[in-house]
Amino acid sequence: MKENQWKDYYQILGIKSDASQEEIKKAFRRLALEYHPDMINGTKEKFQEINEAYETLKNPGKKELYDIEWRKERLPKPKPIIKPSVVSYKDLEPRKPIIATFIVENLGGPFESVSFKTSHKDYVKVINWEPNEKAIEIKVEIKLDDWDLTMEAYVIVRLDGETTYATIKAETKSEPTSDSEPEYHYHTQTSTPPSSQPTYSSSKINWTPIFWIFAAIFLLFVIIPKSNNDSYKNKNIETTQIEIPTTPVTLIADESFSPEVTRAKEIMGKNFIGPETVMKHFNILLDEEGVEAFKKIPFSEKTLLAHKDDCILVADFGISLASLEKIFTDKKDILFDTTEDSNYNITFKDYEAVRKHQWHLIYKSPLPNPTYKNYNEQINYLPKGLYILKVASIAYAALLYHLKTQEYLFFDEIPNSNDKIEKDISGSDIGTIKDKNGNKKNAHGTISYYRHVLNSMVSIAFGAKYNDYNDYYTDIYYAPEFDGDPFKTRTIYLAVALKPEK
Amino acid sequence: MKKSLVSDINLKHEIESTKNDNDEITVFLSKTLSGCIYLVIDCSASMRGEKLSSVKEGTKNFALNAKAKSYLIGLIKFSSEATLVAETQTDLINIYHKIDELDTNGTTNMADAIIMASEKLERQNGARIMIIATDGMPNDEEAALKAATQAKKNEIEIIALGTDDADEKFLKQIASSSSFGVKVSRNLIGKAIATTAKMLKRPGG
Repeated sequence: MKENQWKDYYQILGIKSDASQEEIKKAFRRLALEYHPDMINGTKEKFQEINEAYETLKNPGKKELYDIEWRKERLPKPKPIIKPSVVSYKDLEPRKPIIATFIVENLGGPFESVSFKTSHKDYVKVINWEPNEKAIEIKVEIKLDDWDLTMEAYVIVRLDGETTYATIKAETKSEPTSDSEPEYHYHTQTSTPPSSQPTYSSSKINWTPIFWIFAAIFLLFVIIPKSNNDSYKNKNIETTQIEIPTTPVTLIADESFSPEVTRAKEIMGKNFIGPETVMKHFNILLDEEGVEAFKKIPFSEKTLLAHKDDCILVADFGISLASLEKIFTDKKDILFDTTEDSNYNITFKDYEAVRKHQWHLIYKSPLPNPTYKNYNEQINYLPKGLYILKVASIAYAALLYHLKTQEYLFFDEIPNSNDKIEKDISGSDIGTIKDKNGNKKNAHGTISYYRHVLNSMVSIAFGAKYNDYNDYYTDIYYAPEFDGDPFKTRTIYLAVALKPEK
Repeated sequence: MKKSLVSDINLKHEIESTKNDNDEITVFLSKTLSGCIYLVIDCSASMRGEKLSSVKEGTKNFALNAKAKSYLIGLIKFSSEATLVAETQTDLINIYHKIDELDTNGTTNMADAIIMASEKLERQNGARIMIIATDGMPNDEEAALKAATQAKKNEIEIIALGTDDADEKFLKQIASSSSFGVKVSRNLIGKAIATTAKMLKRPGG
């Protein structure tokens, strides 16, 4: 909405709001002369602005309408406050919705509209609201779909452009031994004081908290692009317990982590993607626990030396695909479809899931010694000491490697989902992606179009989801030769990494 | 030409688009009521299972967005007979309860449902809209058409959404305009209902 940015015409002409037509005309003539593009001080933009102001103010009809806007602009902005700012629920049952109630009060000026949004729309939905005299009551349904889940979500509320938000922390129970489907019905639960770790993960793995990263990503990609410029200026989000950095991130140099990290950087050279690179390119912070997590490299110096050319060592901050996607789309030089036309981003399980902080030593080419085997056969072939990376990790690594070196990982590996290889990984297409000219294409069939690893990575992510992979492993599968029978001869490449040694 | 109460977006295109822009709901706090809507849901036996689940989900989503545009929402179900499930209101929690309780049985008595919705809507102010969701042909096609024609005469807008055995030509006939009668695949019926919320005009809009 930048093109419609509101301008103070009285200020532009340097006059009071009650100036007479004579005064307006006088001011215009003086300024038009001074700022005419032919004059020393003159610029086209300034001259146009003066003309625009005069065109409006000299016309009584237009002036009247503008004055209404002008007065509105001078009113104090609304200042929403949401209560409670944090709610926590523990021991929830999967698929059994509970309803949380929030009250939004306005401590500022008048507003015309209220908007709601939640960060995890599959699990947290605004289901009702009632505006009262002084406040708006909002009801939010929380429904997690599995046992052993913890989630931190946000309910974002805006009064006109001014934003506030509340944090919802929720955990489901551990799976009981005997299966009994919980009944589906609505009931409310009172909030308990916040205590759980702010993570969204499966508790089967002990995820490291990602508090700051999440908060920073949240601010960078959720609030700011959706708010107007004015709301960005309002840095005092008093209603939340999370202090969100609004200044550029202070980088922590790789060398300041530990001598081990410094040494690893020396060994790996351009194949080292340390926390510094991540922070620089993604503009995100690392909390203390994150710093701790990256101090130790889980590989021996010998292993690093052996793989300094064929692997990359990556500090995985555990950013979700959802956030990665936003980073992708933010970079104009990287061709990536926003997936707005893609079927495949809607129900992808774990699309918003984050991972723990960890170092990966990833092969720059897919599974060494690829074989003409199908997916399952190739998993069995997986050499000892390697593991298959998750899509989110590989997309993350590929993106950072590209940003750092301008080179592509898996350059020749193109997903071709028209290979109906196995029932569980077949699919007619895997979503829309963009070719290098920015044209949208369906990502199936035509191998030669998509020699772009970043597209591939994320397409795979959605492709995997489309096939409803619970574990969303990377399967870069592609058929270099069909031999007349596309269903017989094919190669599936798996993106793999070395298992941590220590 | 009569002024339409709902905007003539390309409903079919909207339903089939995979763009998901319903993430944020914006409510304009106006004291003016935009109008009243009855969702008329086919609960005949053939709707059982996924179809009804999809319809329920879509109906909830619709109700949320319709309320955001200052509409009152009511619910009528029909199988062998028509039943008033909920009078027009803004209490969404209550509406959700009622939606959750919908179950299937019997045949497709659409005509009675249209008549019931029309009678309810005739007494209302503002825009008056009826959204019919069905998966088959009505028991009495002629009676349904007649009821729809009468409703339209009374300036009630009808949007007809169908799937499976529903006949698109028939849907277009009962709808206020041919673009308001749409047949979609069964996995999209819920989305179709939700999408019609986009067509609703805001007060004064």
